[in-house]
Amino acid sequence: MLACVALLLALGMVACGGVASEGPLRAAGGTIVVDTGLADALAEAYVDAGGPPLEVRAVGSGEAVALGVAGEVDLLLVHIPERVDELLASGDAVEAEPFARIRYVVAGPPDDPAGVAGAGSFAEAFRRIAREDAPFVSRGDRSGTHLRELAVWDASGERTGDYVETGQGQAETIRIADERGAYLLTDVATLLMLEGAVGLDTLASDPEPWTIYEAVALPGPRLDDVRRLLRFVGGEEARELVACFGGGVRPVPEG
Amino acid sequence: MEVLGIAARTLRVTGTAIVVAFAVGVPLGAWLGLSRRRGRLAVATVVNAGMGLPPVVAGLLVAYLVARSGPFGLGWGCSVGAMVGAQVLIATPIVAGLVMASLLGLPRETHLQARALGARGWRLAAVLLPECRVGLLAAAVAGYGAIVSEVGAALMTGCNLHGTGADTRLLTTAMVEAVRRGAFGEAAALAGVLLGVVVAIYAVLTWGQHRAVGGARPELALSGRGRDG
Repeated sequence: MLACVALLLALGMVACGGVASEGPLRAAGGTIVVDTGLADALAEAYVDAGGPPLEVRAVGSGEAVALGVAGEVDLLLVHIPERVDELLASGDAVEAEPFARIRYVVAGPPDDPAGVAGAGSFAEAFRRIAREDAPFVSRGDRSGTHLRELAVWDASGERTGDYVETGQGQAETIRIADERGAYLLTDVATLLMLEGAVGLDTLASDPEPWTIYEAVALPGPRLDDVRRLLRFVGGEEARELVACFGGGVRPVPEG
Repeated sequence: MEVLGIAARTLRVTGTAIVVAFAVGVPLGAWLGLSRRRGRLAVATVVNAGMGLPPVVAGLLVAYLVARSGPFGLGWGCSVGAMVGAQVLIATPIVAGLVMASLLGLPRETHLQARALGARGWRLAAVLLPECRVGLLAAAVAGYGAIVSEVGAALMTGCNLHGTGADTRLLTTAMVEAVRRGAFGEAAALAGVLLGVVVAIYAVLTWGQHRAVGGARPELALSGRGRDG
């Protein structure tokens, strides 16, 4: 912990300068990196390292890609690797740099009416929810989390009869699940951020609970600036910042 | 078809809210406009201030009071009922305030005549309220306008849910979601339906307003009644 504080102080004092600034870089990102403050922490560290400021719109990864393809932003902070691969193949994106892993869990009401606690995988947890027709809340917004959730439903082969989509961000969706006494698939970081405000319990995990967040450079006039940012978020300083961030956020494995 | 379902729910929610707001706001406004009791001014101040109550504050208050994590542990949030509650809170002060204002705006002689005829309390209100038909319709216009176009409170209390478990979308909240998804065409379709609904409702209210004025001049109606008695 002390090492983390020292690191953050050191980052704050570094003032490299030298990078030409032509106004802020515009990014669109998933709501998880924005709501938890991870995007802000990285942006702050980047400014301290002499880079231009970073403006991040929290819209969900699916919508972020749409904004990127439309040329509304300079880069993306998203966790839909398959879609990013497509963008790279089609030339709609130039380069991608993974910078964080976010862990998912199945959370739900503490009395756990569907008996989800102890399920060995997300698919098994969803099967138990479907068997009881227990209430389930979904982002429903083509975000990375929503796509992951849909893949789990496919793997479980069933669907609960009490299924509700919010069309809103991860934090709102957690609050709504709490209000309805419902289950949901959520990242740990946003859930921890709402600790105390909501009464949901973490009930089940998965052998592969992670999702990879990537910074994606898009073609455009700021491409060189964005590439420098990608070097930064993939570098050692950012790695340690992400490692210190806590709350179910980890750096990507090396290599 | 989905849009029609959302439009029907919008009409149901706002319609219920304006009816409740009238049921509470008209007697309250009548009392404020006619009573000479002490304490009336304090209540009138609250009502007048309530006319400017920001809808998001009303939404926050209702969302907090009915939430599972709220003071009563109700768990009634994200529901159609909570949306109606917030809209009642928004519209009631508007209705009460405009009813009060139109009663106070009646000519002094009208008040004196009604009292001279022996009308007191609820009977006084029953005699004088029909004289402010125009004001009552203005209350409907202003009160309904405040809730049908509102989105912040509806989002906080209804949560814009859709699916097999619940559906709490209104035209306004669905529009916000569509824009967020970048579905501008869908948002425009919803906007078109909302405008259609609003124009249709206001056409009826405006027609009523002008008929009310054209039917009989309020003062004449009352003096006529006075002669009969």
